[in-house]
Amino acid sequence: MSFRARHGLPDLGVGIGARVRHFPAIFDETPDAAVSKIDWFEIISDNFFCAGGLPQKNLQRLRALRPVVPHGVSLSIGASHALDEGYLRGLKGLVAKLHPPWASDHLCWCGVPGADLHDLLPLPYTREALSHVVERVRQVQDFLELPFALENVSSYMTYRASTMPEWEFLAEVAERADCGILLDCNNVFVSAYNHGFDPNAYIDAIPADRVVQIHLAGYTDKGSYLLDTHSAPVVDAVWELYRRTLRRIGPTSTLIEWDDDLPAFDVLVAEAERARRIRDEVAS
Amino acid sequence: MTRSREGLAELQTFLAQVVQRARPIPEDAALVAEAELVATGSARLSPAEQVDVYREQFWLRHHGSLLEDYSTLRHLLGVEGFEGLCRRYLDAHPPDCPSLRDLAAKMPSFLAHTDPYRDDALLADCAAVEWAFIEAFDAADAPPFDASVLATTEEDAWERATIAFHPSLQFLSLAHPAHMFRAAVRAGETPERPAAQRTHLVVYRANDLLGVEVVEAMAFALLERLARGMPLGPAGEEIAAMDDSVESSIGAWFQAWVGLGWLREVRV
Repeated sequence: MSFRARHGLPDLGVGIGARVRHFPAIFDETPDAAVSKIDWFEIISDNFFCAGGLPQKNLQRLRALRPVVPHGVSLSIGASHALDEGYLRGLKGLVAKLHPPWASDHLCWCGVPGADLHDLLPLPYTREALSHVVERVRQVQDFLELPFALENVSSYMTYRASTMPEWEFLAEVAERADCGILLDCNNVFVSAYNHGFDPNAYIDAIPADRVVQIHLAGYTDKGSYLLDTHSAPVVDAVWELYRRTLRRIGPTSTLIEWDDDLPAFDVLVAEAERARRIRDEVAS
Repeated sequence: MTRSREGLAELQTFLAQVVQRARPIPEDAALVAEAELVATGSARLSPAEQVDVYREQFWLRHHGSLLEDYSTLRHLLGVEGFEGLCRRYLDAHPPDCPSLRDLAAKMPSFLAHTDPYRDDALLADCAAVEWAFIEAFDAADAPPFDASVLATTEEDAWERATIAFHPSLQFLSLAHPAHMFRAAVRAGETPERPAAQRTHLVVYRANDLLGVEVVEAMAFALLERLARGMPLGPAGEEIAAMDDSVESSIGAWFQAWVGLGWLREVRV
């Protein structure tokens, strides 16, 4: 039985990353409001570990409207030092408030003791790193008592030490740790461009039964590399990767991310609607 | 002879060090050689340029976070001066918490104790006000104060009573009215530096709105003592010993504090 079926993980439809500047539109209760076209929300987990105030009230309001899935950026699953227990407790507290079908973070490392870089740095794809991440994903999943999914990051460097491609590493981590995959099609495209691999080969190599969610976003062309900025519309080539992904894995919870240079809410909803049309087209 | 870096911990330690550097990696011959031991490079980027992407992003991300929290400091120091402050602050206090929210926590103390910033007390004052607003914003919630306790508490019990304030309250004793300066900068104005003037402030959150109140010196002294857990009787006596005219004001102060939503509980 597939990971999704075993855990009863639903297809939530098409969602958006809920960002503070869009809250007035998200909380618009008029019947034909743009938010009525959005099926679910993703939040950045780390922004809601605080004790109280508006963030917690907004979280309650979001939860009352739609399913909310927490997506972290600081778990640092691949760091060589111990997992941050305080962070895990914060995440578990958030999970207790949201009752989400799963939680997610990135296949990366974020720092070393005494220096948190607040970035999603790629791992060397080695047997050592693989065993290390597998063990830690098991710890996280056991602690949270919730299915956990790892997202492929966009990357700008490749290690001499790597002995396998990223997609093999991700697939083996997911199989051995028995966790889900959050497949970011834009990250696949960005990394493929930066490192010169075929993005289709990546998509085709991912174990379809473990993909619980898909991310779509825009990037910035820096001339000699692409930077994953979540500051622009999804490009056509990434929509094509999305279409290819859906053909392989079937209807899957899909989320539009937009963090910098936030557009009007309607623009974000239009991106979500485009994702929905592709889902419908592939399903038919 | 140099050797390639392969172990996970070794790679991460090296990269964490180099991405925090101010100088671009391709400009440092020693680091270029080190980067070649770690990264493969690509058709468009050398190994050093690959690592430098992360160095550049480290700076942009943390500079942006400090700017968001401390726009008044940039107003005072200018663009270059503020960048210099950020470099020195990040060197002294490398980010060590998972959340960027906590990056700026040590800025008021850094400015108060570090040359040349400590020569200008307005910098630390502004930073203290900015940070107080951040702390008040997402502090824990508290149930509304039950004012009926004021009427039902027997008179002799007040001596021993302790006061719990709303968790959002931040107490600031400053050399300048930095809250007004901050408000003007945040409103997009270009205010002049305020003249030095001892100022006591309470920054707080009530009904999800942030507020700041100027508090007279004796009331502030009482608030500070009560916030430390001192019972009302001894705290009032200490204040009266400093200025015996304030005793008649204490009731009015309490009324004002209740009205502002500052009290959480009276423990008798």
